Amino acid sequence: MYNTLFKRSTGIQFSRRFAMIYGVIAAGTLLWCIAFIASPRLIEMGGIHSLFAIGFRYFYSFICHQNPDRSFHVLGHSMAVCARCTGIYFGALIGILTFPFTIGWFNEHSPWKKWLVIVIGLNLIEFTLSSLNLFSNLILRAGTGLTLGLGIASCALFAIFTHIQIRLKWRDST
Amino acid sequence: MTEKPSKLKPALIGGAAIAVFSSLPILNFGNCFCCMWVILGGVLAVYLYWKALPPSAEFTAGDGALLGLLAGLFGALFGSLLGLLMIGILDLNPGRDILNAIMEAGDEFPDEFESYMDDFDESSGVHPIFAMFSLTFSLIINSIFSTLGGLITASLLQKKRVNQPPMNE
Repeated sequence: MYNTLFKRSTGIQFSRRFAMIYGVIAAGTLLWCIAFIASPRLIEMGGIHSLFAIGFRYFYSFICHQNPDRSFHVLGHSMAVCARCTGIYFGALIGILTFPFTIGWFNEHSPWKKWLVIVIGLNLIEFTLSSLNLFSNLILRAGTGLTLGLGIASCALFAIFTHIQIRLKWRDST
Repeated sequence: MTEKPSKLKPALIGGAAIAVFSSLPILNFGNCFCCMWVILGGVLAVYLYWKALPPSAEFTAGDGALLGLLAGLFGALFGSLLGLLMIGILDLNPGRDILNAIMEAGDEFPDEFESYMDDFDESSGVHPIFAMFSLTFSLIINSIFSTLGGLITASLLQKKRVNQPPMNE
């Protein structure tokens, strides 16, 4: 029924559908990261490229304050997102790329919920400290953001593949 | 097979919540924290649907993703309309403000771009290009983040129902 690439002890077959969904998510996240990293380079190139840079910056302005003081700089220009967002998106990319080797496709007992609570807690503490100007550091912001991105990406992928797994199990049983 | 409630109502409520919180001044800064309002809109839609679901009905992460997606899309549409209303009432020109902020960030843009800036200055209120881009970007961003919120919430809530096989194949 499904084009089997390999089969684990769970009895669930890794199908093309798994690979396709995973590929689309990974490629989309990679493009997302490339877009905000490319922004300073596009400005540097000048001309029509600058308009693309403005487009990217405008796009990311919907989800990020883009404060230059709180952003990493490349080629003398700030990135299209702040340090925290940079960490979150890179964390998500790492989480997605390493998902098959860390949590795994068919892990039914992943402790991801505990991890999600821990990373959200970490980010809230850092967010509170930096909002109150008690402690402010670009690397720390990016670092806590990285853990949040890792947590969210892992949770989302886990939810997607668990959903597919339940459906496959049900189909196989009927 | 147990009848499932409509997804439209919770999605509309979630979308309305996204639109209101993302459009109101000051409150909309919440979206700078990992698109908080958009994610929470998806969470709200899934929670409302889950509450209305009969105990014997199935509930999957797929339902959550779909609810989140719908809430995000409604949120983008309502948010754009509400944004236009706010621009009219408060006499704002967000297109110009955002572009100014980009320029103030220290980046140098080509001279041709100045004509676009003047265009934004002359158009009081809403510039059609700005409105079009805003709607498109909102649709993309909301659909991604709200789906994510719906998906994760559904995974958290479905544990009680996970042993029941899906029935709507």
